[in-house]
Amino acid sequence: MTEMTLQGPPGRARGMDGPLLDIRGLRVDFPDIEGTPAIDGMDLTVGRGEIVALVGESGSGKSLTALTVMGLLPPGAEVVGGDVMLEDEDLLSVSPKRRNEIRGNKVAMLFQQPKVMLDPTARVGGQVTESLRQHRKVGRREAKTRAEQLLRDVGIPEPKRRASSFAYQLSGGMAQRVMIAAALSADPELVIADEPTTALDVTVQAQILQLLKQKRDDLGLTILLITHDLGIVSTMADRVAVMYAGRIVEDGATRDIFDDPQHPYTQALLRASLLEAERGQLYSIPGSITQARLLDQGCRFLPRCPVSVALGIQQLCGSAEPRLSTCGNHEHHSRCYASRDYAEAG
Amino acid sequence: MTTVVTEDVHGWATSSPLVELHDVVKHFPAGSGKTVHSVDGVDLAVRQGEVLGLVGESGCGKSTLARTILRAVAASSGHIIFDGRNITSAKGRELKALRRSMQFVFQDPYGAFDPKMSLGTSLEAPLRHHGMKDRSERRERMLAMLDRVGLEEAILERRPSECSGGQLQRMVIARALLLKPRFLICDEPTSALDASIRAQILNLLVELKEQLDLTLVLISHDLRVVRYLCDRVAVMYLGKIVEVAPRDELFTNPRHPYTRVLLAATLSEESTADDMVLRLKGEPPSPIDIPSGCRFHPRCPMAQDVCSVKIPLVSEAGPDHTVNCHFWDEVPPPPASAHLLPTSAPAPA
Repeated sequence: MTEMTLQGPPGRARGMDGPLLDIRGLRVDFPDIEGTPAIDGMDLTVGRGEIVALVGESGSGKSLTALTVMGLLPPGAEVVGGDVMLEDEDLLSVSPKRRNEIRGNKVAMLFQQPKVMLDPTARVGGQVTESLRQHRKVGRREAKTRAEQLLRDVGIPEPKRRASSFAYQLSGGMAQRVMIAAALSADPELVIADEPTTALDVTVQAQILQLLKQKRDDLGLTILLITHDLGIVSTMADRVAVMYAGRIVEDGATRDIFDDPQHPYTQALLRASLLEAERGQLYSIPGSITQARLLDQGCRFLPRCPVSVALGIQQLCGSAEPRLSTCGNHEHHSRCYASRDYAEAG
Repeated sequence: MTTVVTEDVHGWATSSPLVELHDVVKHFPAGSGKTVHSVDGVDLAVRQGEVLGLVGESGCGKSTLARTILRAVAASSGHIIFDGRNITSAKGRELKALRRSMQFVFQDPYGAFDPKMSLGTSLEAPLRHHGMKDRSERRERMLAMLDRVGLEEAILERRPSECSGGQLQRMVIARALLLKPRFLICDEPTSALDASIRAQILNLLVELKEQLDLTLVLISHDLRVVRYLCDRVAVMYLGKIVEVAPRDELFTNPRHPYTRVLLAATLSEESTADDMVLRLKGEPPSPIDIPSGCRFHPRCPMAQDVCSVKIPLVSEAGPDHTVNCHFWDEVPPPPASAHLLPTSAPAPA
């Protein structure tokens, strides 16, 4: 774990110029489940005003990372190492009281199924301002006016009427707008959006993504976007971090990741998502991510890696895990012996 | 291994429809004397051996149309012809026999099986229901099907919670094909799956379609999946089919403004921030209050006065290409959505 901490990407110095969110060497385990920890030496920095996309297959640990930052670990999960710094506070060691102050106020989260996340028995207006009333001691009358304003800001027509609707009366797109309004109500600095548009139509998806991006531009919001849809990543993100089996295997500027992917897993993900046929067969990544949890040494991707076989370096790959090392430019890192400049990089 | 399209593209002109819909309507009562116009007069043919894509936003009636075709719900009016027979009001023994020829693959593989039953018990149910009494015969049929969809026998002992999404979706497909149907409707078969598993399931569907001589309707709002899998595409908006065309034609030369908007809204790995321009305002109107004239006019970037008054009739926009729009010949070419143009499948001659 200490090694991971030292080997993190060369983050900017802490303080106001430093990253807003800085995850170092994070390890989260389910002690009852056999195998390596679900998050196992994760490093991720998110700078102020950035949109960073966290991508990877189901089971790679993306959502668990988000829940750890939010302090909403599922039952059975346990943080066993690392730091999660939000500015200069370690979110893993703050008191429950402080944690509640941070949640909603500084960090908010958007979920995949907005209609499930809204309380079916309460009018949406009240839900939008819940965290505002909690954190800012705003009175009922003012909260009502604020709710309408917030709903208007996220593009909901007739906000006054909508504020008194129930969740079942909203379409999926409307419900996600309501969730965005609620998330932004107490002016958080960081929004974690976990597959925010997966359940929505393409037309509505474009509208919601546009809205998020506009909020970033207007309010200087920082967004950690979790998705497995690389099309969304390509349009939204400034930087991309690729996660596999509980750790980052590649990160860099969005264009570098798409145009010049260095890690075989990133290359495979891109190929699989292109939906282009070769001799009538679509490419899919061989094997399964579950194989990775049984490995306790070497590269986690080795059992599925075509590059290692092609280069005949399986022995090296199986003996020790490669470092997350610089390739191409100083913002682009890859955790693979076959990545460019691996030997030279420190 | 041949690709999806090859033979079917050339067979179109002669192949007879397996399913024909004539002015099919499905209305639901909405209380206070109002009506939900879910499916509002659909004419459509599904040709023998083809893969027909059905696309449109949530709430446009795609899934209701599918359920109406399969007779899961009864049509309010119109006619459904399957293999030359009018099945609109089939019931009893005839309907049960029909169910064997037409099957459905659901969107959510996690919710498709009883969580308390082993997958084997779930898989066996349709065989029992359709009178296969011999236990070893049932077993044999199940194992043969598992082999086809690439699953091990051991999965029969497991419960749904012990399986991955990809495994469950294979099971859903296995169950649908167990009774040897000729016609399969897949409703968003891959939207709950991530990219790599999605590719595996699409490969499987193509393979099974060829091996088993299936006719397929694919409902999806993911145009990339439609582009890959379908021979023809029908676009649905608020209960009506607004455009039907061969796949390549639809993606390169959409003639309905709504189709064009759908193409523009689909993001891919080659999209950049500039592509994400809002091209469509608002959400579909409620199917309870259908707009007058062309039902797309309140959201249409090209709408003119006539559109709110006169319902557009079907126009021939090209060979095998129909569209319902007053101004179909003025719709600009699709935006730079090169990512949606077919890349590897052969173009029709």
